[in-house]
Amino acid sequence: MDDTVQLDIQRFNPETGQVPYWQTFEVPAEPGDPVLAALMRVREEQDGSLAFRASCRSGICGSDGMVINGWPRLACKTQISEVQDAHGIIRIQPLFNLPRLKDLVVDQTPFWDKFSAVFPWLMPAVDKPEPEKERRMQMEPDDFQLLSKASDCIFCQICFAACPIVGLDQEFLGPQALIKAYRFEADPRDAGTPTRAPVLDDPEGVWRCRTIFNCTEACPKGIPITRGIQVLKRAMVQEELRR
Amino acid sequence: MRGGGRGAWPWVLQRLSALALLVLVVAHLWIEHFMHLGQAITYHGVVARLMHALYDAVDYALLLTVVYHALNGFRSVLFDRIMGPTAQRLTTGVLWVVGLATLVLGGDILSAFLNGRAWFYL
Repeated sequence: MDDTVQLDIQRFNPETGQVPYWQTFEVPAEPGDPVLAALMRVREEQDGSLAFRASCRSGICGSDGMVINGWPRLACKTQISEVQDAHGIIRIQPLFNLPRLKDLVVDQTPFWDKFSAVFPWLMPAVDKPEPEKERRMQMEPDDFQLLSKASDCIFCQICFAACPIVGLDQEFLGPQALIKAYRFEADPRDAGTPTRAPVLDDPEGVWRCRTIFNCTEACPKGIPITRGIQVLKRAMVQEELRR
Repeated sequence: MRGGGRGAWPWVLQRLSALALLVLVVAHLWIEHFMHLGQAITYHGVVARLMHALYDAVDYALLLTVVYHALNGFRSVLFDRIMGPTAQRLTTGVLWVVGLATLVLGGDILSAFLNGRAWFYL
């Protein structure tokens, strides 16, 4: 027979104008089920109005970021048994640091604005001639490893929600925009540093990061975000010396 | 965004001053506590030490480094709360005044022994 799990979910409906409130649901669940499965059960069997984002259910699309027991996580990558408290209860809220739209759905606009502010694309040097033969880039294995990890970002916004500095200062670029900037800055094909430097070398850019490591700890893809930001800080000092 | 180029130097200097502190604090503690181990601490002994140029150099350097490191770190902590550019400029100004006053006061005390008289007679 299935065990049951109690989900305390923070609800919010902008149409009623009511302040956010907690609602309790009980659903059957296997110990190995992800939290997302329980949420889907609630929506399918008990309350079709419960709003949350989810898509691939495999930790790839990054849609189902939410705060589970006070810590931002992917609901599809978090097993019920991992987060159930002693009374078998799981508390679920929308992601921190983003305005809520309905229930567990947040407005992602601030996140995407910051992401696009760092020119998150490869800017090749325009004056460099194309190599006649094969184009081959060389990187130290450690550098490549970090760049490769930074490329794994799935835009789930969990680092953004986990960062206390983002919570304090809405102007701060935040960990995701910075690790994306790092991903291109570290790429040997990229020549976009002069374009990105005014945004990164700014009190609200890399320098606002206080190396709290919440982003690194929360990232469901295991990206060493803080380390990437520290590398960016050093790069910005070098850029400053070049000026 | 508020324009580039503000933040790199406080960050670099915070780290460099931390490294300098590591050396200076150890040197200071060594001079103060281990070089004359077992001897009673007397006024004359302290005066003799403070008249030594090298020991004084360590103390002056320590004074400068510790004041910079402490106030720069405190500024970072304050800036997590104080967001407006005017308030931030004011905070930086106040911290400069506090830092310079501390340096003058500390320098004055150290100089009294090195020169035989205080710089400022504060």
